[in-house]
Amino acid sequence: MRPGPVFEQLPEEILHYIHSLLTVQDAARAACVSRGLLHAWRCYSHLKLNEHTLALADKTVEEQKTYIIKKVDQILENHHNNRVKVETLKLRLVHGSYGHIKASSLNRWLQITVKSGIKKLDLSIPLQIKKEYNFPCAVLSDEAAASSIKSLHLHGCAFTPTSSLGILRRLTCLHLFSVRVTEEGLRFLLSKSPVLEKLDMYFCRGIVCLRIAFTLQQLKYLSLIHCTGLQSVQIDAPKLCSFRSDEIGILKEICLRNSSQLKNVDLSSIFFSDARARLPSIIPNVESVILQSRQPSKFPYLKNLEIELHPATMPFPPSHDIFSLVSFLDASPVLDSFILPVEQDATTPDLISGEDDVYTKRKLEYRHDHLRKVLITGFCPSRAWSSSRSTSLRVQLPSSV
Amino acid sequence: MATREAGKKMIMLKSPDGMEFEVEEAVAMESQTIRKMIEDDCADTAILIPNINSKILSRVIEYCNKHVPTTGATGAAASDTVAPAALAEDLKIWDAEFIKVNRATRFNLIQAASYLNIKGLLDLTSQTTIDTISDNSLEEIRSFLSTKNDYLPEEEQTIRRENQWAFQ
Repeated sequence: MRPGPVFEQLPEEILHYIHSLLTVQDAARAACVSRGLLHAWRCYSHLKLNEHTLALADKTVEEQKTYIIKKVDQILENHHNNRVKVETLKLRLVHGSYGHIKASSLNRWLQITVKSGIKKLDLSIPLQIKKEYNFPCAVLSDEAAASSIKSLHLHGCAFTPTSSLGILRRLTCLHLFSVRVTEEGLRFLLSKSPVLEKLDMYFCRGIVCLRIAFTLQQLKYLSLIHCTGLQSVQIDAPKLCSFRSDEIGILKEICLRNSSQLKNVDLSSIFFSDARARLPSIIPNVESVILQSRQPSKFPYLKNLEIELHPATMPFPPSHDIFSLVSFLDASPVLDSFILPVEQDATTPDLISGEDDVYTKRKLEYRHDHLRKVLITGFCPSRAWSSSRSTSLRVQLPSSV
Repeated sequence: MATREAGKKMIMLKSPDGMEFEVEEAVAMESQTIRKMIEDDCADTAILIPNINSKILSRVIEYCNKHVPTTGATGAAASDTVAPAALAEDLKIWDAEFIKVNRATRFNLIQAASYLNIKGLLDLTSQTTIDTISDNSLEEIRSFLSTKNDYLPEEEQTIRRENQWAFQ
């Protein structure tokens, strides 16, 4: 058998793969082993700089103050001077003892690193300066940088995009955590993000009305957590399949249009205090709904409930009977009107050929004394439906209907 | 060499030094490269695995045999009696023993795992290499990686100065 290969004789892509698994400190140290490993270090493009990778954890607070800026400076300057393209910059130095890091240092690091080739930027601002720090949007004015970034994760800063912001042609993932951004600023940012697939907002309190435009054709996942100023959400993104909101504040309106792909909805702790809450308009396509509030699974103020079933976008799934919608009546004690228009062929034959016994046993929890208007249209006059189900409905609803 | 078991489709793998290994299709398909060949119907007879000698190929098959998800009657029996966490722990211990090989074998396994696209094996072999770099001095790293110091003295001084922070 021939002698085995030495490390540096491994194919270059394997060598770079293994090298990329090293922490930034080990990779830099290994560069001193040989020219081959120096070459790998020159190509080390995933810079994850935190107290673990920089081995700060075993240093005293005073030592950290001395080293931290110098170390990050050296790494980023060396890469910049050696024209190494940085694909990932993950800078997470949020601990209180890094408070001496100045905004000017952060800005300089971003300026020399966010260049053509950057794919992922994950920036967490040190606690002591997060209140005044403004993300330097100018770094994304550079078209080459703007059009190469795929993932942007900002934590603890203001984001105020200006008209010079480049088009983020490849940005698929945007995560804003405790970011101070205005409605206008966010709208502008989203208008520059044509292929966005995932928008995650956490503790972004400056937004009152969130509008997700139809132009966000690729948006699949939207999460709005603890955005406590939020009152209204309007979503026109046609491919949205997952929507999550864990709202403590009073969300008055959710309006989803073009939501035929929406399969998962998680609306934990939401209050619908406004009668115009339009949650039901999104329900037909949804396979999974999680609704929690301080009165679990209730819409104590919901007055108008309209559920539309359209065959083109949504044949009602065979695994669910149409009576599952009754749970919405149970959850809405002050309902004023219930409208259920069903277009022809929106229900499948399975729905009207099941065991009738199941339906006759269902009883509503409440007398819907406020219910004044019930409009149910479009059901096929099949034998099964006309015999037991329509009777069941009539019996359960209050006599004032 | 594997023996044919009733109801299980077998695949023949050939190393460049002429050895043949009959393995269950499910085991062979732990390799994404072989899986693609099978799915593309390129695996009617024996599959020649270039650049991987019989010694290394037999180790790779040993790894895949251990890591192939258990299904069917025997799999159900195993999962009924052993908790998943215990199975994972058992695999971890097995992996640690498996990778106690000399340097040349390890690098050959890395190459094989990469060519055959077996993520678990690539991760295992790579991590072992990473550990040797993380835990040792430059001289020890050179020894572990069979690498010579090819710097001129002044070059080494420069790079040491540039990366001095990494030694602190």
